[in-house]
Amino acid sequence: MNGLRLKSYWGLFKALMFPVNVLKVILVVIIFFYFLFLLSILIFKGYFDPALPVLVIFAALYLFFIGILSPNQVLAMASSKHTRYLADIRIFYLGFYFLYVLLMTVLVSIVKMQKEEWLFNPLFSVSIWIMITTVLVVQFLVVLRFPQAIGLVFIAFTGIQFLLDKLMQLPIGLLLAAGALIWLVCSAWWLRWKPKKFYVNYMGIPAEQLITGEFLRCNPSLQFSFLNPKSKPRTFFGTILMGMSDSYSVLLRTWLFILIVTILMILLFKLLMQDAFHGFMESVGSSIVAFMFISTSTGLSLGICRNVKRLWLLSAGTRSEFLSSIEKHWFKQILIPIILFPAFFLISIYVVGFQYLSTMNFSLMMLCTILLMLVGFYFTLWIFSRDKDNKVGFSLVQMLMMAAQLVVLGGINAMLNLEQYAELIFVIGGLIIVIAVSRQKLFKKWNKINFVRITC
Amino acid sequence: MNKSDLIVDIQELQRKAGVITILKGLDLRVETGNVIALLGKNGAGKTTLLETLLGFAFPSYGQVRLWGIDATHIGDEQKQKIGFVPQQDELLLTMTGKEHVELFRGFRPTWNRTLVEKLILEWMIPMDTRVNKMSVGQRQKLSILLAMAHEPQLLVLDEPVASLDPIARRQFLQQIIDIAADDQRAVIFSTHIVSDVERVANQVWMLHDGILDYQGDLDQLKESLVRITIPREFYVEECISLLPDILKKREDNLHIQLTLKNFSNELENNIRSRVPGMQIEYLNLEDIFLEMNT
Repeated sequence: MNGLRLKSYWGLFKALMFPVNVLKVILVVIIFFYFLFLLSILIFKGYFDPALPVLVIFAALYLFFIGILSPNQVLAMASSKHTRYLADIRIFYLGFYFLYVLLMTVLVSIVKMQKEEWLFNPLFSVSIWIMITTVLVVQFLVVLRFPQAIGLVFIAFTGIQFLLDKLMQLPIGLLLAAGALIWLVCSAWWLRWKPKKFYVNYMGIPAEQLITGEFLRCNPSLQFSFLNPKSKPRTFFGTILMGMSDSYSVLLRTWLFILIVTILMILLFKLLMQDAFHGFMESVGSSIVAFMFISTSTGLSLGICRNVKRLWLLSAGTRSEFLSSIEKHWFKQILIPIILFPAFFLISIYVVGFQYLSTMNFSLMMLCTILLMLVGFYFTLWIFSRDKDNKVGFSLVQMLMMAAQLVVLGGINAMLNLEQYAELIFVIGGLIIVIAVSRQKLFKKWNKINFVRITC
Repeated sequence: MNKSDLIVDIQELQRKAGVITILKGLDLRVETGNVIALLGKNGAGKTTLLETLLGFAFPSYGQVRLWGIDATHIGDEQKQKIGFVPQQDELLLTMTGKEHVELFRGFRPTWNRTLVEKLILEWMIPMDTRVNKMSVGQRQKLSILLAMAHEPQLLVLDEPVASLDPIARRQFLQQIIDIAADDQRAVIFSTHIVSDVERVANQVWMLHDGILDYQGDLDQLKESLVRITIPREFYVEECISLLPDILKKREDNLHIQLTLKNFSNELENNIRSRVPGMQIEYLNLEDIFLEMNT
């Protein structure tokens, strides 16, 4: 590849990969926290000593995000009819990833050396090199086979120390040979791979489509087919509202799926975290379960926002009657998770020894989870009804709301661990007020809702 | 006109998105027996007009009434009289065509089973196939079928034939002609295929940048818009003063070509006597569309 071609590919690469909004947002967030960190150490310590290593950590973190997100982009480009036949593009990507892994290895090694008085440990660097390579390969495999599970690679974080310890027990020669073999095999596959279909580029999907799931309509292959079984619809309204059969069997299947994924995730945590697992679960375990339920329920609310338009002409009443029917339907929807929630804890206790919650704490956690689900429902619909013509604003508020739910959940979890029940009552009261206000505002706004959105 | 014949009444309709005005003060009426073709370039505001007309969104200014009721407040009675095919189908991906028909039949008090069976056969819709396995054209046919099955009084179709093959398109147009034969019903459809419009429509709405360039009878439009060619030697600037509604002017070495709006027999007689050698060409709808939009 000559210099001129490399330059033109770099232009293409930058245009297609780096201006992605997600990466821009991550970069801005990282820079913000870095400067916050600098400011805080200046205020509290009065000197900047850790500034460089922390900068390196942040740079590595950013590169990590690129590594996690880019395989989807690269596979989309390699399988796209527009870009797949560009000569040498695959060699370019191979070179990019080789340099990427090398750079990540160097950054992580620098952080390690800084901690150990700048002593270079080649075994550590080679182990890191293999780990990063492996994470990248796994990410490629996930995108190829289960693109829906693209985010699950973050779980690998929990097992870094465990894997590193195992790798560092092996001779360096063997590690180098193993690493070289992985690269050889992967390079051979990559240069010969003939894509049979186009891999949808998640990064190319507008944020508003991603968050409302609208893109699934255009890309049905991205849906988990086993969540949409052939099942007789229970009601016309519910089926159109959910975009699939509203039978209880479908609902049960959806929530069971969430439950199984959660249990598998906890089991994976247990395997990877070893001794640290019990402490980790004790402090945040119940929050993880609750958040899985809350985010799934918020997903259902977003689905409702996506489908209300098609229901307008297919529902019996006026706008306000329409909203009452939606509310009624949603309550029927969450009956199943409410039933499943205790069942989950019983299964968890049996499967993973998850027995940290007292009956009291469990009941309170369940109550808070249901309240947060209600907050998610009313708030999502309220924002949707407020946001007349702008889908992007809606998406942003949604993301902020989910972040807020996570923070509140963390707080509730901490209060339960510390048995601060009096404070918790205030939180519960606060949540009830938020629900009541959102509901009232929603009903007020709904009469003026625009079901179609125009993005200019 | 009898008041009960009026289905849609739009007055001074404006629709804004942020600072951009998409529809700029439209006044429109739909009566029973109308088959209206909504024409316009991409981005002219066709979909926005149809969606606002059906009460999906509130006008920024003006009002839209369906059977005398504010479109955004229509209830069950009015909704059952509407059939709508959106530009992008809104079928349920995991359900088959047959399941769709069963589901929708339960919601509609009237259901023309014979028509449904006839269209399924004619259009060869694979009713046992899930929607996510259907082609775009098959999905479009199913959408149209579901919008027509309850014999709506007002049928609104947003680019219904865009994904249909020529045979299905002809069959669809035949259905529209059948509906047109029923004086109690009305159809509004947006399209880019102007030859279809000439086959079935009796009214045309021509939308250009949110403004209606023309609304009215199709034949009248064809008669009122002409292209005249004047040999250069006979062309004098005074000609212009005789022709008040010049839409376009083209020139070459030999001729001056003018496209005129609001052309009439009276005007023709008037200028023929003053400009010898003038040729008048009546345009087909496609040429009219191009003249008005380029």
